Amino acid sequence: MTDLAAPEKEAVTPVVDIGEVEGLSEKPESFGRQAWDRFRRHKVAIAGAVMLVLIILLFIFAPMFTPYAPDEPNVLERNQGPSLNHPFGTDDLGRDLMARVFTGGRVSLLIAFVVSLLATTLGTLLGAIAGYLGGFTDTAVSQVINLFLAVPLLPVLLVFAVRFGSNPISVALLLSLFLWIRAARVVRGQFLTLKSMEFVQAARAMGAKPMRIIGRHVLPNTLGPILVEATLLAGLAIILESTLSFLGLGVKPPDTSLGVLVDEAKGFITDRPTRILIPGSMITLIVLSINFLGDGLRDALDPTSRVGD
Amino acid sequence: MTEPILEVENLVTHFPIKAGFFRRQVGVVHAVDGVSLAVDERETLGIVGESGCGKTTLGRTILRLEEPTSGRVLYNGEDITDASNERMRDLRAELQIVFQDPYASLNPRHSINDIVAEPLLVHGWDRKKALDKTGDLLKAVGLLPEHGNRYPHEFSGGQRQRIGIARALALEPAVIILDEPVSALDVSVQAQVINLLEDLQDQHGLTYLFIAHDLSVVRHISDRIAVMYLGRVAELADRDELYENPAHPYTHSLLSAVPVADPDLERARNRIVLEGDTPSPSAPPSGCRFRTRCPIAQPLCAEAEPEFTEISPGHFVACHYPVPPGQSLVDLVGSSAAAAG
Amino acid sequence: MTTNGNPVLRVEDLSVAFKTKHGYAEAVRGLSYDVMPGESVAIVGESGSGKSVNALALLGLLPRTARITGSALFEGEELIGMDPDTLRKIRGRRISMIFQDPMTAFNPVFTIGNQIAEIITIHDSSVSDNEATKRATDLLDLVGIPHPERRVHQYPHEYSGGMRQRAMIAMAIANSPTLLIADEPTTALDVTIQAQVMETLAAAQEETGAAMVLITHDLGLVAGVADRVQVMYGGRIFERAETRELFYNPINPYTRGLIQSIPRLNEERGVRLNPIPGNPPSIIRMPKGCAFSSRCEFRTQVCMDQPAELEPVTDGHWSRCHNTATLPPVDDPRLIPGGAGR
Repeated sequence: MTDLAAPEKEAVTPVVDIGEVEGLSEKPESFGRQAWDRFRRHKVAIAGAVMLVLIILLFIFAPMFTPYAPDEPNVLERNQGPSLNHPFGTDDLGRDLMARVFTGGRVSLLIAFVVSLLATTLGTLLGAIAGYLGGFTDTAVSQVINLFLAVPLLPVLLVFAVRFGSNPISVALLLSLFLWIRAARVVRGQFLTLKSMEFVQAARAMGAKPMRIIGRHVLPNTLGPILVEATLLAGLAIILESTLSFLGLGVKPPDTSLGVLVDEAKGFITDRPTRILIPGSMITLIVLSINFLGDGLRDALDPTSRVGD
Repeated sequence: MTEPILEVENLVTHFPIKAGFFRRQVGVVHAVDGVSLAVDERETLGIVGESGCGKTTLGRTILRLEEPTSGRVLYNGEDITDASNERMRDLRAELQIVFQDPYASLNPRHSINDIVAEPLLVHGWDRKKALDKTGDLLKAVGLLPEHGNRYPHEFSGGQRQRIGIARALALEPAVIILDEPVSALDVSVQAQVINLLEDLQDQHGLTYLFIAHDLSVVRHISDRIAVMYLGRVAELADRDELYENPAHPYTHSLLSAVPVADPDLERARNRIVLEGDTPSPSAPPSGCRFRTRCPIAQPLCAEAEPEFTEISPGHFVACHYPVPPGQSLVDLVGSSAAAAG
Repeated sequence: MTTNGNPVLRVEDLSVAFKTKHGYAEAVRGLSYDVMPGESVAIVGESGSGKSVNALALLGLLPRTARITGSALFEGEELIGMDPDTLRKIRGRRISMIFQDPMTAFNPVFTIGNQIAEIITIHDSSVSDNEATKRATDLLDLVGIPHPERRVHQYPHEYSGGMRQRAMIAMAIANSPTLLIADEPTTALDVTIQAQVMETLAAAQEETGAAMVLITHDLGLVAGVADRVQVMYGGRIFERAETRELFYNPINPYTRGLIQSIPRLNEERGVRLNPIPGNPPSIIRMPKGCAFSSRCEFRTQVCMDQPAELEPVTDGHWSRCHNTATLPPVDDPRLIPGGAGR
C-alpha cells in the first residue's frame, strides 16, 4: 500500500475545477449556525422566546418588589379588584394576588421544567435503547409504549393523583411517569431511521464502536426533535398540572400554583372575574409562548429545510 | 495463479419478515441466496443486476454490515465471517466501502475534516496527525485541503462522492466495495468520478468490487463481471466475453434493454423486451429463478435448478439452455416460436 | 415527422424564476421552441438545467411564488396566465403529463380503473360510468397490462412500479391528447422494465398520433425515440437539431462534452472517459457570461463577459456558442454513424 502522503504521489490526479465551491461565502456555515439563522428569521418563535424569558424573569425577580407575602392574609382588604396597591387585586382572605400569581407561576414553571427534563431524559434513554438495539428490546419497549398510549391519560392521572399528588415534586414525578412515552416514541423513530442511514453504516464500516456511533452520529442528529419534544412536554405539563390542581388533586394549599389559583377563584367568577382571568391568561400565555418556541425550533432544526433551496 | 484476495463461498443472507403483536417470523427475503465469487488482487469485479437482485446486500454482507445466514467470506484466506469483534475492527481498515447516495452518506453535522479523519481517529490516530493526512486525502480525490472546514451541504453531488472516496481511502484499504458510486450523479460528473476511481486504483493498487445497475458503466470499469438475478449469480465472465458472447438469456435481455446513445444503432437493434416483473425475493420461483420471464424456458427449468458451470475458460453460467456463442437470443426466440407454431 | 402546418406548442421567451433568500433565481431563461403535430421532441439536460421546470410552467403546476413570463401557445391558446379552471380542462384532455414517480400520480384509495374512468368522464360527461370502465380496461390492455379486466379493479399499491408507469400512460392517453409531456418517465425503473415502458410509450403515441415532449437526462433514450433534440444547460437551450445530426455532428461544446462523457456498451478495454470538468452551475449563482464558460475548453474572453445567443448554424441545427466558427471539427471515433458495436 502506498502512503498517500508520499511526495511523488501528490497531485497525480489533477485537481479538477471545483466549480461551485469557489463562489461560496467566506465563512463555512456549520449546521448550528444555519439552524440559528433559520430560528432568528422565525418571528413567531422569537416572540415566544422573548415572552417566555420575560415571564420567567418576572416570576423570579418580581416577588422582591411586591411588599406582600403570598400567604399573608389581610382581613381588611378581602376580595378587592385591581388597584394601585394590589395591581391584580386580592383574594377572599385578603392575600395579594400578584404575589400569589408570581409564586404560583414559579411552582407551575418548576413543575414544567422538571417534567420536561425527566420525561425527556427517560424517554430518550428508552427510545434510544429500543431503536438502536432493535429485536426483543425494541418489541418490549414498543409494547410498553403502546400500553401507555392505550390508557386514557386524564382518568388514570386522577386516580394516581388521589394517592400520590399533593406537593409540586410529587405532581412533577407523576406527570413524568406518564409523559416519557412521547419522547420515547420520537427518539425511537429517529434512531430507527438514522441507524439505516448511510453515514451511520459508513461509521460501522470503519470499525467505530457502538458508543461512538451513537454519540457522534445518531444522537446529535436526534437532538433537534428531542429539543422540540422537550419544549412541547413543558407546555403540556403546565396544562395537566393546572387541570389536576383545579380538580383539587394536584398541588394542594398551602402550596400554590397557577392551577390552584384558578381553583380558588372558581367561586368568584361573577363577583371578581379578574381573579380567574389573571392566572388563567397567565397559563395560556406561558403555554402559547412555549408552543411558539417549539414550532420555531422544529423548523430551525429540521435539516431538510435548507437555506436557499 | 495467485490466491484471490477476496473469496465468497456459497454466501446466503436472508432477512426475516416479521409481523403481528409478537413479531413472529412470517417469511424470509432471500436477498443473497448462495453466491460464490473470487476477486483477485488489483482487479475490478463488477456486480450488475436490477433492483432486488441482492447486489447491495452482497456487498454489505461481505463487510459484515449485514450478518450472513450461512456461507463464508475469506479475506487473504482468512475466514472473516466468524472473526471476533476485535479482529473485525482491524479488518475493517483493509476492507472499505463507498456508498451510493452522496447526500445520505456524509453526516450533515460534521465538517469535511471530521468526516474524512473519522476512520483514522476510530483506529487510534492522534488528532493532529489525522488532520494532516486529511488534507492529503482531499488532494488525492481532486479537492483542496482548504475545503476541510466546510460542511457537506456546501458541496455538489460529485464533490460529496469524492469526499466519500477520501474517507474510504483514509485507512489505506486493500479492497473497496463501491456500491453504486456514480448512480446518483449527473452524466458529466459521473465520468469524472469514474476516472478518479481508475486513477486511485492504479496509484494504490486497490481491488474493487463495483456494484451497479448501469451496464455501460460496469463494462467500462470492470475486468470481470457477475450478473445477479434474485439473489444468485446468473453469469460470470470477463467483461468483453460477457458483452460479446453472453450465454444466459437474462444477460442477453439486459444488454438488449440498455439504450445506446447512437441513433442508427439504437433504431436498428432487435430488442428483446422481457415480459412481466422480477418476482419478489421473498418467494423466488422453483428451479431456475429466471424461468418466469425467460423467453426460451423449457419444462426442465421449473423442475431443476441449473448448476453454475464453466462453459469456456473463466466463463460461468447458471442455465440449462445457455445461448451458444455468436447467437442472438432473438433468433432463438424466433425459432422456438416457429417450432411451437 | 410532419413539419407542415402550425405547431401544437409554440413556446416563446419563457422564463421562470423562484424566490430565494438571495433574490430571484432564474431556472428557465428565455426559452423558445416549437413542437409540431405528431413529432417527438426530446429535451435533454442535467440536474438544474431547467428541463422539468419548463414543463411544469406550461401546465401551471408550479407553486404560486414562481414568477413566469413569456408565452406558450398551445393550439393557438395562451397557456401562460390562463385562468386555472380553463387550464385544468386542457390538462388531462388535450395535454397529458407522465411523471417520473407513478406512485404520486395515483390516489391510493381509488382503483386504477376508477381513476382512468374519472379522467374520461370529467372531460366528457356524456360517457356513462360503465362505458368509462370498459374504456379503462381497453386502455390497460393497450399499454400491455396483463389481465386488464381483473387489473382494472385493483388499487395502485397492487401494481408493480413498471405496471403503474404503464397505467399512467394509459391514463395520459385516455382522452386522445394532442400533446404528451413525459418527464423522466423511466428514471425510477430497472432497465428491463424501462424497455417495456418505452415500448408502451411509443405504441401509445402511435395510437393517438400525439406529439411528445420527452424530458430526460438519458441520451440513450433520446437516440431511440426522438425526432428532434434540444439540449438544455443553465436554463437555456444550448443546441437544437434533428436527432442524427445532433449525435453525429454535435456543434456545441457542451453537447460534445456530454456525448463524450458517457461510457459506451460497445467500448474497447482501457478507453478513458473524457469528462467535462467542474459541476453544472447553481441557478442561484449563474456566471455572468455563457453559463458553460467556466467548464468549457474552448472558452475565450467574450464567453466570460456576455451570454451567447442561440443561432442557426445549418438548416434546422442551432447552437448557442460565441465560437461556433472557430471550433475544431469533432474527431471522436464514437461519433460516426452506426458506431462500432453489436
